[in-house]
Amino acid sequence: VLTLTIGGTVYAQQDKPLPAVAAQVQIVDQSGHTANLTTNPAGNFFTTAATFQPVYPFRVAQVAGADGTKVNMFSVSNREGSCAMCHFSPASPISPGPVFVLSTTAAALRAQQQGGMP
Amino acid sequence: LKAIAARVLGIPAMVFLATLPAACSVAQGRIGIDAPPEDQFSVQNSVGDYLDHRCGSLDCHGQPGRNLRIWGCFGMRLDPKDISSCTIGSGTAQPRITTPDEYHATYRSLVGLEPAVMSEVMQSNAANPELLTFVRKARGLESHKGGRLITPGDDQDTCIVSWLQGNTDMMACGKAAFLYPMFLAPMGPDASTSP
Repeated sequence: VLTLTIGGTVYAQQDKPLPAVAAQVQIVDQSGHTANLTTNPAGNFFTTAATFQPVYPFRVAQVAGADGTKVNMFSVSNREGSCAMCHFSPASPISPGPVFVLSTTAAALRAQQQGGMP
Repeated sequence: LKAIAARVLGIPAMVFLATLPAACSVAQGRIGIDAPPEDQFSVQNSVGDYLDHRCGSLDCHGQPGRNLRIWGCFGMRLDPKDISSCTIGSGTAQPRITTPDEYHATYRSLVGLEPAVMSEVMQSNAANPELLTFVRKARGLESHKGGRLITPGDDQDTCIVSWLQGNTDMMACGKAAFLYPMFLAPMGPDASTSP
């Protein structure tokens, strides 16, 4: 049995159901230990009891898309290893929404700079 | 027999109910409690921010079902149109920070949790802060799902106790909120996996 300690999904863009493939996710726990993870083709990442047992609270220090776009999470997880327990759709007063690399605004700006549509 | 007993018992009950409004009329005044200062709670990098960041995450006290509810941009928002997110704001984007209403709601949530005990603690200038359940839980003296979070004398404890004493140590609160190993840790590759 594979026991997961932390797991989640990263989307390439806000409000679009496309996975962020090969995104880098860095987790830092209370004791200062880090876990550097890479998302799979479905955008999923996870740690197992064998690879990383976080000392709570932990923080996702950085999520970096394959193109180098980086986002940070500033709040901490005090006892929940399943990212989707808090990061669910839609964004609301009790959820920041799914984890994404590129915001809708940033995607529009990027498209504008490249002369295309987002 | 039951009907007779109900009637006999009902007469004193009716008399009691009839006199109740008069008996309660003396307690119509506003009831207050002694509470630590709200102005030292509701400013940036003070007690409110520390609690929001450290205790108010969505997996802990940033939930509507908790008896100690904490609001703020790091967790649960008060405005139903808002979303759980903190941003400083850039360009035309509006900053998303903890609002005065959220500080106020969290303040009331905390000081109203055990009003009589809070008054007692205030009257003794916080000589025994652990009389308050939230202090006991945070210090690990009582069962707490989040475990033991603070040690007497550390920045978190100093933040809380100094606030209860009416002279909040803002430096301690600021450090308590953000200066954790996870915010200072070097980005070293301790464990790397690719699912």
